[in-house]
Amino acid sequence: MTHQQAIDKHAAERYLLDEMAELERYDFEAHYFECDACADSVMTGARMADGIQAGLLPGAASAVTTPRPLVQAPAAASAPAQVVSMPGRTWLPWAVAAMLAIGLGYQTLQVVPDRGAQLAGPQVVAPVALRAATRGPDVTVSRPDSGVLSFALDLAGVSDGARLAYDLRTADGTSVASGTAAAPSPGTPLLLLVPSSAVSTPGSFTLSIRAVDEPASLPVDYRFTITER
Amino acid sequence: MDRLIGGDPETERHFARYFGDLLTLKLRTRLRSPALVEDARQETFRRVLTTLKEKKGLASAGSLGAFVNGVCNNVLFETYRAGGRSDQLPEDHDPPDEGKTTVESGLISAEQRDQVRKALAALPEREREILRWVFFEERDKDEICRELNVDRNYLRVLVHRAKARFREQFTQADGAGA
Repeated sequence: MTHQQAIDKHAAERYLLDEMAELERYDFEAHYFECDACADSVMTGARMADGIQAGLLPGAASAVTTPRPLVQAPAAASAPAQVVSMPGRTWLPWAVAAMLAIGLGYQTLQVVPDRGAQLAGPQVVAPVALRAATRGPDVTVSRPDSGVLSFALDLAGVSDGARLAYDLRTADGTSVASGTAAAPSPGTPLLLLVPSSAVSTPGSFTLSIRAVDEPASLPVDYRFTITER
Repeated sequence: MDRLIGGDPETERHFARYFGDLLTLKLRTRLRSPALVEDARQETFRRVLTTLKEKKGLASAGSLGAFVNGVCNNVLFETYRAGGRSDQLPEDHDPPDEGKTTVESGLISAEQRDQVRKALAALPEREREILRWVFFEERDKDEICRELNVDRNYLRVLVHRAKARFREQFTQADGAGA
């Protein structure tokens, strides 16, 4: 990549906005390691972005009073809109499950940037509903650009408070996320928030859930497929 | 180049500062753990300096950047192979105590935080809002474009302008702080 090509293609901005394919990233990196002007451009942008992500941007706090809900469009037709329409009685377990899932996500995956915790205001989550593998076709989900992917798991037959272990695996069996969680109240789905980086590769995934205290019990599998956007 | 090979401390510091930031920027998008990024960075420096001393320089001093980048690519691919993956390391390679914040694994030193804050504060409100959507809230960029009634190319232009203004303000703040 020449300097003129880098300028013409807005390479520094696209690099910053994560809009480049891997080969083009390497190509642009080969250029900016040799080009002071592009190195300065991309470093300036990265500092600016880092500062914003670190909460140094004035106005991020004001977003608390004028929240912009981040409504993630459900990727599957079966994704429910229950989060906003649920009766208050069931809100608490959902919230607890969500908090637990977030906490576990941070503890076990260690990949959600801290900025994820710095919510600028309430955020509505439209989870993808997953049902046990034997109950219908796989759910298809578009590959997320960033943030987290939320799943609502139908846990029929699990005792309230039972300790659950989950394991999210790719088609070749590689585990990309795992952890434990307490089962929510009967009739309430378990919310699991998965960093988009864990499911960034298109393909089939299987989420297995089993009761930790019942070694004889078989894991229940939930399958979904990540597709290119 | 001679001073770098000769081990001049000031030249080594400048070399490490300049290329250290570029290497961090390159590596952190591919290695999730700050510890892995730091390891790969240090290994790159070690190999570059060892090679320079062994070969007593490069054919062209102007190719130092390309050489550093090439060595970094090799280190990166070896890290991938060591992790048993061809694209990126599994997320669970991140040790529990190493999930650091963006700033700690990033490009803003503790001394620069105030300057960055001032530079960001000096941006026009509209630019701050767009930047917040993109980098803080990480909203879908197509959604942002729809809201602004612009295309993706124009969003890049907006980011470019904001970056240019940020650079100007950051340089001023840096000068005032120095």
